Amino acid sequence: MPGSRPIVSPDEIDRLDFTDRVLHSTRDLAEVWRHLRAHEPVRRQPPHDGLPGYWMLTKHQDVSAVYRDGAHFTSERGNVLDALRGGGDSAGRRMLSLTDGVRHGEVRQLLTKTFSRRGLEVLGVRIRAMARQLIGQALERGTCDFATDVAKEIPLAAICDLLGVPHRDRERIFALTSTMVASETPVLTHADAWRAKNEVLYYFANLSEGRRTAPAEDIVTLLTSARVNGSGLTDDEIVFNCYSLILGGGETTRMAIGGAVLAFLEHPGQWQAWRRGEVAVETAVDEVLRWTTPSMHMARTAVREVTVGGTGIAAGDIVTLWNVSANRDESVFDRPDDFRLSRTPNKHVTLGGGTHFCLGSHLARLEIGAVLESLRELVADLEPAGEPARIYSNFLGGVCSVPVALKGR
Amino acid sequence: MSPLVQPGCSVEIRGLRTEPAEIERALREHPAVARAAVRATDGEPRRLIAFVAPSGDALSLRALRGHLADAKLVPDRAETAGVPEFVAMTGRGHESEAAWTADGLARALADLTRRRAPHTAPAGATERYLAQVWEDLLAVDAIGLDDDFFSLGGHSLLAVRVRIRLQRDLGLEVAPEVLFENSVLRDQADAVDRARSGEAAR
Repeated sequence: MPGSRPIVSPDEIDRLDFTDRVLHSTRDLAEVWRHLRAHEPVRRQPPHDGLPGYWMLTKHQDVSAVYRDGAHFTSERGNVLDALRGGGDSAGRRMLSLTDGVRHGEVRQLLTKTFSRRGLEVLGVRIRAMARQLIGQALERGTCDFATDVAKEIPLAAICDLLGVPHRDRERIFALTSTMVASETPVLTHADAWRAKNEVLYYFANLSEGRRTAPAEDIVTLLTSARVNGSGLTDDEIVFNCYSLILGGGETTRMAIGGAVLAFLEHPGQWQAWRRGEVAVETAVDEVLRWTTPSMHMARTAVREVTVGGTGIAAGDIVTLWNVSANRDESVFDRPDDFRLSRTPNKHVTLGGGTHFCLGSHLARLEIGAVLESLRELVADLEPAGEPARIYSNFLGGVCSVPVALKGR
Repeated sequence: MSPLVQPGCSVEIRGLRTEPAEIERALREHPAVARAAVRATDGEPRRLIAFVAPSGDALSLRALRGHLADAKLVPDRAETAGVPEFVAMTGRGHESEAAWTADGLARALADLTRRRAPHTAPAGATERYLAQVWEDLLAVDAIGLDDDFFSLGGHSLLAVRVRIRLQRDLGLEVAPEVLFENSVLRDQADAVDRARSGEAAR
């Protein structure tokens, strides 16, 4: 089976470091998640290496409840484990995903039209044409690396179009964003990630400065000219939001698309069902989102004492929501370890929930759907052509290489 | 933790009579300030500390000192005697009432003191220039040669702003790792000087 990883036994749980980027990449934690859901759904990880401890939620019900509970949980101190354990995210209250309350609603409102189904209609035409073109080129070559030749290109082009990043800068932006939260090698250092993040912020600080004097039809211009309660966004808000959009728009969907093709290679019966046209595209996209779960976890901070799944959590505690586990919860999903494109209902938590529900959900669905449809139209058969490779991260999960041999219809 | 006292109408700081209550009132009136408190340290030598919370995103200590000089509450802009030391009350927790109690203010001062290195004044032109840039970005005054950018609250976007200032003021492009690896003022000034002579040589 391509890409299979050694299974970690639940006996090892107390020795596992869930913040270790290598663990998630090289080991299969399915049995660990199953054990935690059954026996310890609200688990306390002790402090380690001078860094604070944290709670781990693994059941769908608890994860969904915390996403929706803005009264007891905040995103403003950070929404991923590394940032929270490092003392809080410096972009707190200056990035939409790290802003709560009234301000969150006001700033989100600026962007909802752009990311609505209607707002994405024109871009959708371009995305579908691009998917056909890239898969057509791959067919001509016979084999391709689907992760780099297709999965990487489409989300990057789409979010760069929306933001207004010129074509000549896109390769560099991709190289930087793919180093910020994940890496293709196990030895990414803190300095590498810091450097990449710094370059991306610098890039958008300059780009947004340029848009003030030369406005264009793009999100950077929209942010620089926006008025909220009579005043503009601060420079920090503009730059941090661009950073957030390029990361959220480029990296997660790349993982979902590459993961979809890997899932087809691992489940040839599902590929046949898809090819025969037995499943609606919207339904298939949801199963791809559930199956791949690019954001493995999200995190919150309790602002006051609260009970989750019968366990008391204190004010100030870090709480991690493991989407990868919630999406395989046997109490919500029938045979959760089956990849089944026709699955309905499919209440996965891949896109989060509550007020911070993924802003780019329509865009992600559009991109994944375009790739699935192009595969169905153009490809008769696909087979593994080498070992896939996973990225190293404790936050983003998925593949950065999926060698595949394609045969045309 | 050094105890703080709320000074009366007039207090002598390093031989100079100052009016803490007047200074506090003037700071509160400044549009960039949401809240202010002026206190004196209890021991000798006595220091005057101005705690200020910004109303917006940026807080310019330079502007606040200018504002106090304009109001004739502190001597000339060029003088430092009689000008209060600033503690910017930014970030989490400082919005709470507890942060503005006597204990809270003493904690804020102790926290800033802990993050600072023993003071050696910047002397060279690049050192003084960078100290000013840091002060503008970090809202920490009297930056010394051994102070560390990240210890004083610097983060990635603030480091980006240093790079943008270098580009704008000096026409100098520096790689991000130059600032990351040289986060102490003395080292950063050296690195900037090296980069400038490298550019000149090209």
